[in-house]
Amino acid sequence: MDVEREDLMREYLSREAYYFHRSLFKSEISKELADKYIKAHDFVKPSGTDSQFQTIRMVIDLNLDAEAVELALRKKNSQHPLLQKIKILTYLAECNSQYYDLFINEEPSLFKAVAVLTYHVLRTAYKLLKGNIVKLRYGLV
Amino acid sequence: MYDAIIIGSGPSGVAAAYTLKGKNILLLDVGNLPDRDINLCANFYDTKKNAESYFRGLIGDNFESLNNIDREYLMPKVKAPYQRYVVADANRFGTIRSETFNGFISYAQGGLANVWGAQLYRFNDEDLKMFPINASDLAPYYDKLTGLIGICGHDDDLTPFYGLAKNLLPPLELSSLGTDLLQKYSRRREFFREKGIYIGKPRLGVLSTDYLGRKKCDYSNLEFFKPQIPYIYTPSVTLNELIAKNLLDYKPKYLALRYKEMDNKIIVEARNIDTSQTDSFDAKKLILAAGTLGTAKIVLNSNEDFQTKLPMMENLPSYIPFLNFFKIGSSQEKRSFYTQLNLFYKGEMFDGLVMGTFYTLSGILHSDILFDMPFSVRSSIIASKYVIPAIMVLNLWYPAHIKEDNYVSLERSGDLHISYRDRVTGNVEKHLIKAFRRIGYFSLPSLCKYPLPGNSFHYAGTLPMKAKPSSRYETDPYGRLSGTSRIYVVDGSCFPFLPAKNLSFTIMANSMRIATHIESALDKGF
Ligand SMILES: Cc1cc2nc3c(=O)[nH]c(=O)nc-3n(C[C@H](O)[C@H](O)[C@H](O)COP(=O)(O)OP(=O)(O)OC[C@H]3O[C@@H](n4cnc5c(N)ncnc54)[C@H](O)[C@@H]3O)c2cc1C
Repeated sequence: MDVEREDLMREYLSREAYYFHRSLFKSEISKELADKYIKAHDFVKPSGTDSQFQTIRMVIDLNLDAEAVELALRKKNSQHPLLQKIKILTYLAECNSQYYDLFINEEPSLFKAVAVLTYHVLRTAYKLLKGNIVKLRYGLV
Repeated sequence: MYDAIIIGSGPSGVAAAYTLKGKNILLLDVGNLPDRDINLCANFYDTKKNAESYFRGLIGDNFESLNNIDREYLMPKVKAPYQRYVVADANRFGTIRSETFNGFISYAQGGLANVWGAQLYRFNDEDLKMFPINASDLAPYYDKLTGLIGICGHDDDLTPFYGLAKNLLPPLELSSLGTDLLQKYSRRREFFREKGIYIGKPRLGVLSTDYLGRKKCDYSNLEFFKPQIPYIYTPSVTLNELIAKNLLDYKPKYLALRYKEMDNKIIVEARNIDTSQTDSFDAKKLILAAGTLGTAKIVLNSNEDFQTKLPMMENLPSYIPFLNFFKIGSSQEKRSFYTQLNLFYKGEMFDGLVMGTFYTLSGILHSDILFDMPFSVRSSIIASKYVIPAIMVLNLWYPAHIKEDNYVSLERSGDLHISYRDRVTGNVEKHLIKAFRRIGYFSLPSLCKYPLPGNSFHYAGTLPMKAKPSSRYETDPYGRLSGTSRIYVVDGSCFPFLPAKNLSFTIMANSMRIATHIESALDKGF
């Protein structure tokens, strides 16, 4: 029974890893990183209410925009388990050489940086709006 | 019988041991050590580039780097996997119970100083005005320590606060942000003076040149992840020399529980943490150097006192991130040292001197700060790449006075209970944000962070030094605990006031001063 539950849990965490990765990094997660994400849950225990965990399940099952939902929820609760799980993935990705170029800038360019930042300010505003709409529509907490 | 027993191998214990070398000294210590098998590249960014091979060092077998996701906040330097030994066991021998204070006792060999920034400052007469001693009493010991440690720095606008840079090594190289800030400050010096702001280079126990067999700083940016880097002085450097030369009987794995003073000696009971057996050791003198909280615990436990509230002081910290727009998009500097410049503020916004340090964010994981950025997660990751090389964080420290509301007491369970009511108002932060805008460094009051008290790790004041001690929890000018004849306190416990300046250099100098007094008492047969 316990083994069965453990397998189910692993399967669920694996789904989370694939889903969040696609949402944040716009690509498929490697098996190695997904395994680390699953193992991290033996040591890091995201906490929250049942309905907050239900929100995570809905995001994945209904194919909602995890990044937008997280942003909309963050203002009210900076400790939401959705954010805690995304943090786990972000730490693991940052400490994986494949993501080095995503985090570290090696070519100086003020112009490019300003253009990128301007885009991301606008993108964040869009995500916030989208997140709030999704939150209201599905009653996410 | 030993001449003296020292409890603790942090800066205070090692300074006392160094002074008393040649005597028959026992140093009792829990003495946790770092992992022997440190596997990191020669540079932080090369390590990240080859991260799979360094998973243990960056994330940790137990995912230590992820600590702040679901647990009480730990500074990046303390939560890193190989550095975690510094606060390991912090809850094993009794916890710190508090809603208002987030602090730690270190049970590491070398104590909290294993992860210190090694900012080493002399207290002047102004800083010592509530002490029963003055700067000239400490001067010879500061000088001796300067030679022992190898301190870098130079004379600049901060000399009036620090004193002349006698016998210092040249300062470390600044990063491009540090250089930029210093140049802009120099051009607008008068403006900043009017605002009560002074900036200059720090004085650090970090080697800018090879010194006494230790190699100079290699700007590897590994300070947050790699323990006991030889170019940063830690008490273990001196401790290991004393042990190697047989000048000390060092007994690690011993947790001192209590002492008992007899007519002709002092007996210390300590538990071997491996066997759980309690052993007794006796000596003519006892030197308490277990850190401010550790020493408070031993003293209260020895008196079986579960009532008294001992005073407690700490330098309340705050953090202001400053963004230099013109540096946005710079490439990440891979060769730098994170501590850049110091700042003093003396003006209307606060009654007393406030000190600060500018740090770059090189050498830490972006994930530690990503989620403080006002973007969605993916946007934060991408923005951080361009913005982090343009950010400096100013860490401010505030001075502390003894106040009734800030105290520590011992519970029967062995836990310490701490209540700390002081808070930072944010006025100085607003003032500085406004001033720095003038030179292109931008921030907002809403971006400032005010961590819970305890996070400065500068603790003091539990057994304050008085010219004429009046209670059994005060010490005389030589650190002797009131009502005892053989028990001396040499750590931050005996400070009656905590200026904003980092305290450890003074802890060490004062410990040497007290140890010199003990040495002459021993020589005279007392
Ligand atoms: C991240 C960080 C940065 C810092 N940066 C600076 C800085 O730049 N400049 C500065 O001046 N200060 C700095 N500090 C503070 C500095 O580290 C402390 O002030 C200093 O280490 C205190 O020295 P200590 O000897 O009093 O005690 P500790 O360093 O706390 O050492 C305590 C020792 O006592 C032992 N011990 C404790 N209890 C017992 C017991 N019951 N039995 C046996 N042994 C015991 C421990 O094993 C340890 O060896 C920093 C601290 C941290 C954590």
